[in-house]
Amino acid sequence: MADSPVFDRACSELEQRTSLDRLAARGTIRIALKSAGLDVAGVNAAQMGVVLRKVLPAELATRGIEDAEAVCAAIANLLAGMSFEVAQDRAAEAAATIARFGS
Amino acid sequence: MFLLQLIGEAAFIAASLTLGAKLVLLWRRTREVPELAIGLSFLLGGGIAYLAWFALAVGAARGASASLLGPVLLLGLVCTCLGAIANGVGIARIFRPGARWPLPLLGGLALWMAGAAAVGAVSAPERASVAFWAGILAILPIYGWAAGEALVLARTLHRRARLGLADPVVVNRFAQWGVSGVIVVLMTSLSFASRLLHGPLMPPGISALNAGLGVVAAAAIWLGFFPPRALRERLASAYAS
Repeated sequence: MADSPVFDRACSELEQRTSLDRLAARGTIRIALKSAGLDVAGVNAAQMGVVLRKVLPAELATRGIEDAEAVCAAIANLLAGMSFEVAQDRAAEAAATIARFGS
Repeated sequence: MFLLQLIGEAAFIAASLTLGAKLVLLWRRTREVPELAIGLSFLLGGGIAYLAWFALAVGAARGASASLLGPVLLLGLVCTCLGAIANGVGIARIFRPGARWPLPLLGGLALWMAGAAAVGAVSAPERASVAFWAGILAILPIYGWAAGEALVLARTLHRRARLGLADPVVVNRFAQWGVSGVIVVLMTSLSFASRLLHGPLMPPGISALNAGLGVVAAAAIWLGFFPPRALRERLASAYAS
């Protein structure tokens, strides 16, 4: 399955704004997404925004990136202003169905 | 001991019938496959089948004739198998939408179960018992699969919920559903082991353990699908902090 365009854009922004190379930027965001229960194929802009603000700064700090919070906030703001077409992921679809079971 | 068994079975049957009815009623509004399939699974496999098992145990303990117990056994087997297949259809639609591999798996198990029920219906008691267990054991991969999917997704959604990306009540529902599936596998395996080791009548210790598992499964169903307000509030505050 192809990576989400949100993931691709976040990775390229992180690569441009920090000293991380492409592989390291993608790997770091992958780790952050995994710890948030998300995957690179289905992440949308809103989810990535939360990960950028709440998870990624700590990951970048451990890699010696200075001012990680500001970098992440800037990328999150950029992504929030853009539109992407991302299909709902499998977990979110299943959650929506099971949420219905409680209604 | 009988009272303990009664409590365990009654709790599980009541929870299964209530949830099954709720989901079938939901299906009447939504016309979506998952609620119909999972609703039928609880109604048939959890409710009616366990009513049949309970009637069978009472009848056997009181020395009822084979001609009386035979149809009850067949009813329990058919409901258990239909419930498991319905569960498999629901699980496939919920967790693996668009995937083709569940179809041959469920089709093969359904054929196996139908064969076991047919052999059981026309065979002498000893051979019918083998056919019966061949049918019953075929539900294990389905309930094991269901429990695995629910627990894995509960873990994924738990991570999301910590960041406010999933509803804690739904996370709890997946977890409790997974627990109830694990318990169905345990109860079935325990009954089979008891049959192999001790014959048709379950020893009191195993019966008590099965009854206890029934209570836990009923509690899991209830807490997952009918969570009281106090639990919902506790979940919300736990994830918010």
